[in-house]
Amino acid sequence: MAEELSADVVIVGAGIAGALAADGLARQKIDTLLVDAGPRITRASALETYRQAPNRSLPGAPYPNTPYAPRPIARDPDYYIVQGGPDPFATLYHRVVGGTTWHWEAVSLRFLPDDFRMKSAFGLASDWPIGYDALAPWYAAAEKALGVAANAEEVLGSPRDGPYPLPPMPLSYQDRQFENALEGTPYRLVTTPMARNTEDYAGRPACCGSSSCVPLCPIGAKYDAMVHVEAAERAGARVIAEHVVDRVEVDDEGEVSGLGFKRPDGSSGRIKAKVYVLAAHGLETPKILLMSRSQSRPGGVANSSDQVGRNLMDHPYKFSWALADRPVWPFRGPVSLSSVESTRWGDWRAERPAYRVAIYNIGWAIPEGAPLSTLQGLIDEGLEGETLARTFGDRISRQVGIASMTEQLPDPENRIVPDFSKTDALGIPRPKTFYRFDDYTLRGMDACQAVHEEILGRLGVSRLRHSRTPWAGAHIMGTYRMGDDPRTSVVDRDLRSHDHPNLFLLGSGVFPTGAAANPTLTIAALSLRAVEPIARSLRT
Amino acid sequence: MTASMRRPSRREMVLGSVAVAALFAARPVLGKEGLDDFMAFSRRLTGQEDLDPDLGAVYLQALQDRAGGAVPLDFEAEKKRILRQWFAGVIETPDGARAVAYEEALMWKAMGFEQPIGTCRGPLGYWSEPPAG
Repeated sequence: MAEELSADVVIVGAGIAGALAADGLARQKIDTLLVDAGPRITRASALETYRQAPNRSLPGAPYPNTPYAPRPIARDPDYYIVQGGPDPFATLYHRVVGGTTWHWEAVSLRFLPDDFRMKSAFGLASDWPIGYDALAPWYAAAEKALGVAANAEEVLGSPRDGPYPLPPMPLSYQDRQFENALEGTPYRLVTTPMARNTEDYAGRPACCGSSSCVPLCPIGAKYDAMVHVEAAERAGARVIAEHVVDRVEVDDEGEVSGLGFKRPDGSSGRIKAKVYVLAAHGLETPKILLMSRSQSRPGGVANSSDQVGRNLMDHPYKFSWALADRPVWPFRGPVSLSSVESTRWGDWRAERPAYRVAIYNIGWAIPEGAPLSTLQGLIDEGLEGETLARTFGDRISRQVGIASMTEQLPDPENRIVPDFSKTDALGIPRPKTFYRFDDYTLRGMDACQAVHEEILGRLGVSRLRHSRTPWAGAHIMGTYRMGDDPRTSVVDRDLRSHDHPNLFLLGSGVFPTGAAANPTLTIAALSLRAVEPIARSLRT
Repeated sequence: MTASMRRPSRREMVLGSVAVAALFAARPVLGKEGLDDFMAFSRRLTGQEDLDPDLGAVYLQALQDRAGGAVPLDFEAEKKRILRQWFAGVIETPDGARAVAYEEALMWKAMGFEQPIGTCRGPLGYWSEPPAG
């Protein structure tokens, strides 16, 4: 018999967007059900999986990739996503309770005021329906919820009223070498705001420098969404794993009337609620909406604008890596601590993308898979004995890597659709992407490479290498954009579907533009802001 | 070390002796007795005196399993496999690479670490100074 679940509010997706909303609703004593497609894992089991993975540096290493809730894997863009081209949409997210914050870097930047008004300021893309001022108090709430450590004195371009909840992270020896090298240049290094504890906070300990934040913090010093999954449970929410929602049903009045799901054993059931929230990230949320097509809605649910699945954006990266002339001692402390942020603003944004330059503290881990790849390379060269150990130690001590993350403009032709001809183990369509890097992005790649040449040149390096094609930021944005006009957007400024009054969509899919800042703090702020409209819609 | 690791039985040790002697029959570095020889050879190859014989048994077994009773002819390739085992804690199996040791891998010490990546390695901010020594 088909299982029937019910609640006043059901939230699909137990990542940061869904968990924060579930916690906020449950604390208002609202009957809340938080459902995730993937399994529930523990930190201990993930740590054991990580240690037993032959290639431990891959960000997916600690996390399951199940047949019933498959996900992309690093370095094989064809594994789960069906690539429609012309460029591959490489990405990574996790389908487990807690979502992708399990492996995130914890960069917690606010967007800039101009990031919300790209059309007005630079004549590009479109403005957000809300501005920075409307989101500022929610940014402050999100910083408190996640526990952001930073220095309020440093200029990051986003006006703020108070201090951060936690004092800034001490910079690394390597950061100081970059700081010295950049003296007198326009590239001023700042301590990146990060949701990583610098002292005991919210029952979690301070960072102990495991240098494994990506893929996994062994002690929970780095925030992840399990914090709010568990908080929501304590407040009375129910959390259910391994329920793969694959259908949104709409009644004759245009209200969402139920969700269909499948379980790993192939059995199926329905969820009934008064208010429905999809928070399954930038590929799965539009996929579910588009799969839910019917005779009366051939384009799928919430899609009268035809914008569901379109405007797929990432943050294309330029990565550069080299050997410093002197040891800088990477692989000690968090994976990244400092960055150049002043390159996120300027009049030139009309011509080429804003960007931020992160100084990575993990050598060549990202571009080459160090330290294991470095070791293997030296063994392959024929080194052995003390010479091998000494050369390996020296190489590692001098590895540097920096990366520029650039803003990508929305393009309606960049999109995700369900591929009904290519399905997963449960018979659910896999996501198919159509994706192209435009000239704006390619100009950004060239400009960032020149900046990297200058920065690394000043530090003093050899063996300098650059990524050629744009690399994935694995930030999935834009695929159910918000706006005031129902003809050109999917959700309104409260993240409510223009088409269905009891349906809300959370996550970076609502971003009309993506800025040059990591999306998570903005996802969190928008989720916290959406709690009241969701609760209000329940009362009416 | 993980639960998948175990000390080989006496019979496996004897078989090991035969296999390794055969493995490196043409080379003077290895003498007569299986694991002891493998450990002595490993110490010379890695330049490290303090190697764990329990781990050595696992690594030797992996080499033997891979050779499947045959005598590998490429001595240089075998040496590289043994170095990878000790430094990375990773063996080759028919199902692909598999990690059998973590803390014990020699790579961490070679990087100047007392504790490997993925474990708590000091108080907040230890990373602001270069490593001691």
